[in-house]
Amino acid sequence: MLAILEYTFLWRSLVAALLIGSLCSFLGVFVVLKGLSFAGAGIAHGAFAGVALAFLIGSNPFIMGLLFALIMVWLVGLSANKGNLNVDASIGIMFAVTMALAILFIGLIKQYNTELFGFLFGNILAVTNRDLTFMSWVFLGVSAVLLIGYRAFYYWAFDETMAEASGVAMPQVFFLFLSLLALAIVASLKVVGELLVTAFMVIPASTAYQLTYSLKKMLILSVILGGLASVLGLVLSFIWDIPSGASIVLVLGLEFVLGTIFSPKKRHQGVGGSYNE
Amino acid sequence: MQTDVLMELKEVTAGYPGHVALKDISFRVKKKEAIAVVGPNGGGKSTLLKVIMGLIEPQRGEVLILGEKPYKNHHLKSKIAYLPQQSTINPHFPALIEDIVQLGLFSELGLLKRPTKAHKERVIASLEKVDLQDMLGEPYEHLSGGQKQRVLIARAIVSKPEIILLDEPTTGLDVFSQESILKVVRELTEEEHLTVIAVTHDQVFLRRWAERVIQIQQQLTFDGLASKFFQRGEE
Ligand SMILES: Nc1ncnc2c1ncn2[C@@H]1O[C@H](COP(=O)(O)OP(=O)(O)OP(=O)(O)O)[C@@H](O)[C@H]1O
Ligand SMILES: [Mg+2]
Repeated sequence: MLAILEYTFLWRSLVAALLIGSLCSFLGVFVVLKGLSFAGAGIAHGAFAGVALAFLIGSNPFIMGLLFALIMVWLVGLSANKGNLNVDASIGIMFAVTMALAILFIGLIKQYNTELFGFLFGNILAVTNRDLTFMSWVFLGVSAVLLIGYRAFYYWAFDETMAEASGVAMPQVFFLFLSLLALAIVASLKVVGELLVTAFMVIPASTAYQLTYSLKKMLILSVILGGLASVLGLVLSFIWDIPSGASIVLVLGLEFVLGTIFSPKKRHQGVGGSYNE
Repeated sequence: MQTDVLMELKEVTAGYPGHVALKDISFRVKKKEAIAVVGPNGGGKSTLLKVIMGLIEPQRGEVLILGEKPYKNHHLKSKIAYLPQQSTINPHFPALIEDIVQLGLFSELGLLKRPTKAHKERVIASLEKVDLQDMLGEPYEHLSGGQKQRVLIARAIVSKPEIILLDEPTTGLDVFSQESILKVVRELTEEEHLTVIAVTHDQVFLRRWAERVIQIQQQLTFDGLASKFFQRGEE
């Protein structure tokens, strides 16, 4: 078991998993509280279409993925903001269109490309030094913006109208958040793959949500649970030779089950109305 | 001109793309007034509060609060507090009561300024005004609907505003909670001498609190003493 740590590529994968796991779980808290998991999935689809196009025309998959993801962000943000069309419906349309684009690009490549499918299903053992550098920058940049803007994101998550009335810049905060989400998703593709990246965001935050009543604690718990599951899942994937994305998400699922069983909130059910007015 | 005019609307027309919700609304508000805004559903009451709050820019006319236009005016944010209608807040939002009240200090603290001891004392004082000082460290989730509404009022007044805008603060609450909100709002006008403008359909609120009634149905259809408003209705 300890012998596996002698491989440098494994160290690299472990660091990548830890960075991405904790970053996604941090963002995931707001994704869960604002009900944005479908938007997250839409952005991931867009990013994957960009990656597929990059393989087709031979450009950088991260840059192309990010470009497509940011286009999705603007489309999602604008449709949510205009309010003419149901947000879910408009994301659903983009979801389908970007997936169709991805399938089209893959079809045009005409060859089975292992690396491309690594972006779809996750292939963490293929993480290179350059990937890791990219992930580290995303990790540092996104965390810095989240921490500096914490109060604004908190207020926005609580209530948009009240936040705006108190001077939080709306809808800029919303667009900023979706852009951070896009960056994190693109950086995550090689670790968990686009199919599982939403699970990566939603599950640790939902587990943390069961365990605490304070947003700050929810953030800390979510990051710990996400980071832990990433590392544990990766080690298991190496030992049992299974895809890392799958094993990480299964560990997350296990954490969620345990979290639900040990949730203090159930014991409090019904307390809501019993305080005397 | 009287010096105690706090707010003035001059022929304000406002609304949403392709829809005029308010037309040619003019009135003045003096300090310490207790004003109820009434009108049919879709009449433009909430829009009126949003225009005053500076969330919507008037298409025509102008709003002046303490001599300034409220739209995108950061300086006025801490002078006006706002409780939106039927908040879409997740009732299980993970936050402690004190954290929520502290959100109201955003207009002062911004992103990075640390709250001082004086700020923390103001959070407690605001909770005292809504009778929830003992629940400082309680989770928001554990409160009843009326208590939640009072926490949101505490959040609104922690910035020490001069004007408070309440959009249907008692709708959907049971009679006891309505009574507790009425008590709180009364104290704000009578003891804190704040100017309160409340959209409400609540008869208790209208008869036992409002001094002046403004009726809106796209246009201003009544503006006067509450007693006159009731006489008119009973004719
Ligand atoms: N965001 C919006 N976009 C477009 N139209 C809107 C928007 N909000 C409100 N309206 C329209 O503006 C008009 C006035 O709405 P407003 O919410 O001000 O009414 P209200 O008097 O508060 O009604 P209620 O008693 O139902 O709360 C309505 O016809 C409404 O449909
Ligand atoms: Mg309304």
